[in-house]
Amino acid sequence: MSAEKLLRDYASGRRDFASLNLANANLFNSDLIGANLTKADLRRANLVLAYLNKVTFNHANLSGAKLGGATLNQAIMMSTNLSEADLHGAMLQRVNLFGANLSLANLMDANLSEADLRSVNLRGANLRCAILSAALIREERGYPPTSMSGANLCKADLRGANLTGTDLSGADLSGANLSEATLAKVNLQGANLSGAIATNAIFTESNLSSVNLTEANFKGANFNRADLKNANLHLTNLFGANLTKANISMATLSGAGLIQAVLTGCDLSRSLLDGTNLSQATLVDAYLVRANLDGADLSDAVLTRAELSGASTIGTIFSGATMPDGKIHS
Amino acid sequence: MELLWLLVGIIIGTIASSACWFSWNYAKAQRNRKFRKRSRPAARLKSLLSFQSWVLNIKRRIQQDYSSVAATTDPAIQNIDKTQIIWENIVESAPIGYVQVDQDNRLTVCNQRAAAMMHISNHQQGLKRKPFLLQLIRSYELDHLVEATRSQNVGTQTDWVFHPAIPDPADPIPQQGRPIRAFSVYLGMGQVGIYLEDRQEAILIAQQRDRWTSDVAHELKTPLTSIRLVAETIEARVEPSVKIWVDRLIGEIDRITSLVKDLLELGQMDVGLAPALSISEVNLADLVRSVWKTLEPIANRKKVSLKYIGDEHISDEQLTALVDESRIYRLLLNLLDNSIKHSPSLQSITIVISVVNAQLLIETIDAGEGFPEEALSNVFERFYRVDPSRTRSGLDRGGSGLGLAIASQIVALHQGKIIAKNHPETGGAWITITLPYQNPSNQNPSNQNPSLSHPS
Repeated sequence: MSAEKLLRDYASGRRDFASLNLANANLFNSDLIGANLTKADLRRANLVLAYLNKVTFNHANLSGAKLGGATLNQAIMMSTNLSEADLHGAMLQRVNLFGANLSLANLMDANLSEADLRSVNLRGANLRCAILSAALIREERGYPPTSMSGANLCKADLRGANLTGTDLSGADLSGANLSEATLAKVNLQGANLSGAIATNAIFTESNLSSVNLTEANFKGANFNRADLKNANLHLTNLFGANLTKANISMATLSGAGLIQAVLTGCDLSRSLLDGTNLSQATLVDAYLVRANLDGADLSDAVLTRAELSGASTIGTIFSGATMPDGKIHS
Repeated sequence: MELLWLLVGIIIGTIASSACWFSWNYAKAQRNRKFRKRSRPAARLKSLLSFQSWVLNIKRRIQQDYSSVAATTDPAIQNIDKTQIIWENIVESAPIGYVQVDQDNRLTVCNQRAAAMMHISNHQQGLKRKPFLLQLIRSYELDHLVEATRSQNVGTQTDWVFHPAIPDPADPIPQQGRPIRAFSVYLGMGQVGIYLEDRQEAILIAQQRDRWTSDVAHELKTPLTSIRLVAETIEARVEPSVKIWVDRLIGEIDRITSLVKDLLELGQMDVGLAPALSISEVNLADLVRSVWKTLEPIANRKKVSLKYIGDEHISDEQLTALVDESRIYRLLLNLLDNSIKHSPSLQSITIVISVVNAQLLIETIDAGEGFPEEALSNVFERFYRVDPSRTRSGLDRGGSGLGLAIASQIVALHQGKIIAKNHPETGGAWITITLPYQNPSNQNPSNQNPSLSHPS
């Protein structure tokens, strides 16, 4: 069926266009609100600036389609193939993309707020400056988790999003906003989070080994049992963060702010803590073997039962701190 | 009996004392909690103070780093100032035009030569106001080049004819267009530099050369015809042993005649002498068939076959276009002849005709060895041969080297484009021609789309 025929049928009231072949069709700026395009073939179709609110695209093939500036609010796109599609600046609010394939898609500046992105393949996708606030990206039992490995999420807005169990290995999240987001059990291996804002975010049991977290803001974030092995936390703000039982061995924390942070039972062996501010931090049962604490500020910190053997403490401030033997340093 | 009472007494005593102890502990815990609560504002203040000190620390550290970098480079900066003045002088007096624009398309540098080329008067004073590029140089091509360079971050090159703006519209002096070649270079931060080269002379020389060739060709035509006539007359009268030489002579004369004919044809189509096209409605499928019929004897010698693929939506009967039939015939003849020449035996040549976005696409694909990568930009030049060793072997019907040049001329006359590439699958030559598509059925305003008006 040609694009003209489709638009004429739509104008005459037809809504069901399931299993149509519309490859390479030109539907620029057309209006298809509420149409049913289930299993339709729209490969490389031109849907730039089209109005596609509430359209059903289940199992449709939109690979290589141009959807720049299109409006897809509340569309149902379950298991849709959108690989290499161009969705630059598209409106995708509350869209259902469960099980969709968005690998290598361009979602730059797209608005995906409150979208359902469970079990989606976003490998290598470009999500630069995209809005993903309150999006549902968590792992669903019985389905493969959402994969964003190698995706570009530079300056993306992920406030309040639920990313539990997703794969973000190697993703670029520099400058992204992750405030109040849930990133429990997330694989962030080798990701770049420099300059990210993640106040009150939850990173429990997530894998952050070898992650770049320089100059990021993690105020009040929860890193319970997270793996931060070999991570770079240079100049990171972790004010009041909870790092209970986290593994921070061999990490770089020089110049980081860990004021009032809870580091109970966490492993800081061989980590670089020079110039770190740990005032009023709780380091009960912390393992600081061979850590470098030169010039660190540990005033009023609680170091009860902490293991400090082999740690370098040149110029470290311990005023008012509770030392491992329970005595207060004077 | 006393023993029993004693036991009861002891039990009651222990219960009472343990109750006492528990309540005392509870009260102590409460008191402790209360005390801690009271001390909290102090702790919060302390934490805030320490946070402040941490921030200040970082600030100081960054400042220190910055100042240390600045301190080490101070003498270097002075040096840079000096070298900058030298470079500015070099740019100003360069024998080639140079202009530079910043990220807002405002002109920042414009040397003497560029100002003269672009008819900008008083450019040094004008630059102080930071004018927009288009304010001073009204050229869409230049603006396009700047945009392309900025978006791709790589320098490109463009040729165009610059028509300077008429300074006084009330008293218009006819200004002459000036062919200009511009090379752009991306300088980072959205800045783009452009070298401008005056092509007036080069174009003039090329035009003179073309005119000269066509004149010579014209002069050669008459003597060649008489030589051929003489050769034909001799052929019947010589001894059979010498006949072979005369045959060869006639063959060579044919070759030189066709070369002269090609040259004349090119000369006719040269710019400045644009001949009128005799536009008519032509069925392209039929045209391809008739071209192939002409070439069949040569093709059969190599057992090369033709595969014709028409448009998906338009049937062969409907696939017509408004073109100059004889010229398009010549175009297809040249392309297919070339393909047969380079195609190995028992292979097929594919010709695809399709209509995409109101453009007529003609593609020819062969299975030969293709063009070498470095030759792709030159194949449409006159007398350009891909393999110079094969040029005048005579055995291989070595072409005049004008076939593709004529083809590109014909396409240019039709306001189309011709691109030579190597096909990724066959590895052979892949020539794509794009012509503006004027379907005769489009003239009827009620039928906008040919695929709808003619159900196929």
